[in-house]
Parts: sequence; structure tokens; C-alpha cells
Amino acid sequence: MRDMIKPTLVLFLICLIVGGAMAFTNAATADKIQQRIVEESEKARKSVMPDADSFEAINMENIHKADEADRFATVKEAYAAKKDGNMVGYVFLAVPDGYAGSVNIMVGIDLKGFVSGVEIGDNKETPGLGSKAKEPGFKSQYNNKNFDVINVVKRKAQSDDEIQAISGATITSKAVSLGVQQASWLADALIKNELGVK
Amino acid sequence: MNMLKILGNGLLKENPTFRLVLGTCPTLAVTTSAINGIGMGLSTTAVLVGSNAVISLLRKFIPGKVRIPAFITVIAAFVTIIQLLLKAYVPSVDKSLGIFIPLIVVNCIILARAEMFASKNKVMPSIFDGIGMGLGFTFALLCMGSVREMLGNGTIFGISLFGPAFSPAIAMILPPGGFLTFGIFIGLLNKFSKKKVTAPGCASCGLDCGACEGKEEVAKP
Amino acid sequence: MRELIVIILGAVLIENFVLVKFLGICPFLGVSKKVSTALGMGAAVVFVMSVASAATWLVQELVLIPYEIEYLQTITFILVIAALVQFVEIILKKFSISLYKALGVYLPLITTNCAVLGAAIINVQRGYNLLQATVYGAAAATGFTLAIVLFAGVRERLEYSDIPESLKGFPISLISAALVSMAFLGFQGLL
Repeated sequence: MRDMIKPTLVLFLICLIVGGAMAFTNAATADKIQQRIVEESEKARKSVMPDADSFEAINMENIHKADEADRFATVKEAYAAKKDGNMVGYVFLAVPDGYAGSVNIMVGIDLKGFVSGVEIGDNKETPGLGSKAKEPGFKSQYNNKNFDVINVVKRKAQSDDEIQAISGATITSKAVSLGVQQASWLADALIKNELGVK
Repeated sequence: MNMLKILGNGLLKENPTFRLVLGTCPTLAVTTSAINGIGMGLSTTAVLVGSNAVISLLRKFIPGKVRIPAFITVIAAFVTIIQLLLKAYVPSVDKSLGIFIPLIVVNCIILARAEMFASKNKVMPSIFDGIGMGLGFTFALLCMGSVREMLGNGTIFGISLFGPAFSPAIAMILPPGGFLTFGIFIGLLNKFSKKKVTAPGCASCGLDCGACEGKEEVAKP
Repeated sequence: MRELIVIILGAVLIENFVLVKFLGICPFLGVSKKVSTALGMGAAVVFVMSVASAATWLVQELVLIPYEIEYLQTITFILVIAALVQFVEIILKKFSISLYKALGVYLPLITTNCAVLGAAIINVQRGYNLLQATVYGAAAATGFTLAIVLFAGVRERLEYSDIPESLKGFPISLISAALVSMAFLGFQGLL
């Protein structure tokens, strides 16, 4: 028993000391790290709406409560995008269900209802297939279009409301399209001031 | 002990990557570009120096039975500290190295040096060993990263080398390229040096981990 | 269920731990040239990784998140893994000497196997639930086993080939690994 005490004590002591060192570093860096996270989100929003220089969060709770037809169900966050204090559009974070979990989609829509950019966040979609949604080839299909209902087709898109699905990843493609579609509807409602929010 | 000699040891004679063949996971994974190689190398060096120093300081207090858990605790603490510092001050490195930063804790180089050197030597020499091994690792990663970046992307440190007409061999920055570059580097070094490396650095790893099954480095005159 | 199949196929073939993600290289290169030894190592890894994935997931959910000490993830995970390996070794010694003789030798090495810690961290990053995390750990380990067994087979054949002096051992192993890895790239469009 005796020869178990010393090693255990030593280990415990070491744990205490290193624990203290780590806690100290954590406290010292926590704010800076938080700042970085905020900067990242800003960057993500800017990537779908490059013209904007500031983003104001819009309260989604009331919007969801008023949304009886569930037209905006997948949109979790919304921001009013402004440049020099003037509105230039909206940025939305839609989180629809994909093939293997949820997919984070950032959508930028200008004041005329046209998509200014789509960015796909990290997700669990099939590597090499659904994960291709992140590639410019797919997501650029949404740019500069004004959507109502989006039709996902398995061939080349032949009209402005069609999106060509990723070969072998139809479900992921449909999920992204649903997100963009609902974001478009919400943008439409906000632009026409139908919801009583700015 | 001559500090400079210790330093030079880690850089060349017992270069952890090309001679001792330790820490192979990050060597293959993060050398997709020269700058990533340097980032990983320097982060690892920081952890290595820190852990070598502390373990050397504590070497008389740590009972033999629990030395491995004790080493791991100290190393993990340093990795956590470096992780936090990177996240706060150099987030770009944190992003490009990703999961391989916390994986520094299982980088055999650090545990091997703790066992083979820091636990048996004074603090100053241990620190120099850490610096030497760390710089040797960084140097190796830089070599691998540069080659893979040049051939696989046509750039070095992001600067385009060959102009738009050059069609890079993308395989070089993909996994096969990693294996290939590493294999050729070791092969070349074998050709030009007296001692050949044919088996994992078991003699230099020092841990009784059962992977080596009594293998030893084959030294040829 | 479908999610689980995607996870399994993804981990074993499309994002094979060794040949695509570069996790678990040390044992991959070091474990002997015999297919039987490779299988033994693989079996041990599958067991440890599955249990480790579950254990670390629980630590994350029940300890790290509630107490807001996520920054301690690296150290707690590796200590949990190290403790787990010790525990498994003791159990094996007590209950099955034959199994211990076959697999026990590899256990200490598994602690420093990047694959185990790697899978644990990925489980948290991807937000898997407990079942998905355990399945991912098992599948990733299976992919690891697949890679080392394939490779042991390749190495067994290499024994009979005429290899230039400076390429013997590591260099030729790595170059062969490059070719196997290239073959695996073909799985990219599988599902």
C-alpha cells in the first residue's frame, strides 16, 4: 500500500500544477478567443454579402411564432446587412436537414431579392459527394437569382428556378435548395415589410 | 555536455523525422504547404522545449512506475497552452493545422525525448535537446512541405513559381504525395549517409510499446 | 440507420484513417510484415477505439460541457484513453491469458496512436451522439485494420523483391503506401 501512495501523490500534485497553468492560460486568452469567433462569424456573413460593412441581428423568435405555414422553419438566424448605415440586404443562416444531419447554409440576399452569395458550413454530409456542396461549382448556381420555389433537377438547369443537383447527392442538394428557398421567402417578407420587423 | 553538440544532434545526426522516423502522422498530414510545415514544426518545438524542461526539473521526483502518465500529463498541459495561445493570437495557424494541434500530445517525438533525454539529464541540456529536436522536425517538415507545395501547387509559401502554364501534379498535395515524398527523402538520405534507417526508431523511442518486436536500427559501415 | 451506414462507409473507405487522414501511421509503418500480426493489432485497436470513443464522448457531455472546461479536452481525453488501455490490459491479463498474449502486446502502443485521440476529437467536432460516436470509432478502427492488413500483405510480397539498398525498409514501404493510398482515392465517389 505504501508504495502506491507516493506515486499517486506525485501524480496528483502534477495534475494540480498543470491544471493551474492551463486554467491561467485559459483565463488569459478567453476574451481574445471569443473575439476571434465573433470575427469569424462576421467574415462568414461578409463572404455572402461583400458590400456590407455591418450586420444587425434580427430577432427570429417572433418571426417563427408568426410563421404559421412554416415557410421559414429552417432559417435560424437573420441579419440586416448595412453599408455606411444604409440597408443593402439581408444575411440568413438556414439549417435544414441533409442526408446525415443538419447543414449550415449562409445566404446573402439583396434588397431586390436576388441571392448575393451562398456559403455552406461544416456538415456531416457524405465526404466526396454531399460535401461537394461546398464547392463553387455547385453553390454558385444560386448567385444572382431571385427564387420562389426552387426545383432541384438531375440534369442541367434549364430555367432560373432550377438547380442542378450534385451527382449522387440529391438529398444534400435539396437540403441546400430548401435553405436558400426559405431564406428567399423570408427576405421577400422582410423587404415588403410584411412581418412588422425592420 | 556541449550545448551546441546537442543542438546539432537533433538537427542532423538524429533528426527525428528522417533518422529516428518518429512523429510520422503530422509529417505526412500537414506538409501540404511549406508554411503549414513551419507552423506545425514551431508549435511542436514549443511543446517539446516546455515539456523537456519541466520533466527534467521533476525528474528526481517522478517515481518510475508512473512516469509515463506523468509525462503525458505534462505534455498534454503544454499542448493545451499552445492550443489556446494559437487560437487567440494566430488563428490562421490553428485553422490550417486543425486536429493536428491537439494531436501533438501523441507525437512520439515528445514522449521519446522525455523518456530518452529529459528524464535523465539536467534542465539546460534538456532544453537544448528540445530546441534541437524541434528545429530538426521543423526543418524536415519545411523540406517536405516545400517539395509538395512546389510540385503539387506550383507555389512556394503561396508565391507562384511557374506561372499559369504549369499544371501541377495535384497528387502531391493529396495523401499519395505525402507518402511518396517522405519515402524518397528517406531513401535519398540513406543513399548519402553511412547509417541506413530501415526500421522504426525503436532504439531511439525508448518506450516498451511492443510495436517493434525487438527490431533495431540496422547500421551499416 | 442510414446515417450510420454513411458513417461506416465514410470512415472505412472514403476517408480511411490511415490512407486519407494520416492518423495511425506509426503502427501502420512499424507493425510487422505478417498479416496475422496486423490482424491482431487491428482487433485490439477496434476494441480500444470503440470504447474510447464512447468514454470520451461521455466525458465531453457530462463533464467538460456542463462545467465549461472544454479547453481541458485534450488532456482529459488522452488521460481517459491511457487509463482505458491500462484497464483493458489488466482485464485481459486476468480473464484471458491467450487473448492477452495475442493482443496485449500492442496495447501500450495504442495510447499514442493518433487514430484513437483523433477519432475522439472528430466525434465531438461533428456533433455525433453517443451511438454515432461509438460506431464512428469502431468504423475508423476497421478502416485502420483494413489498411494495415492490406499493407502487411504488400510487405510480405516485397520480401521477395529485389530492392535497391538505399530504398530497403522504410523508403520502399512508404512508396508502396503511396500507391495503395492512390488506389483508395478511387473511393471518393462511392456512395
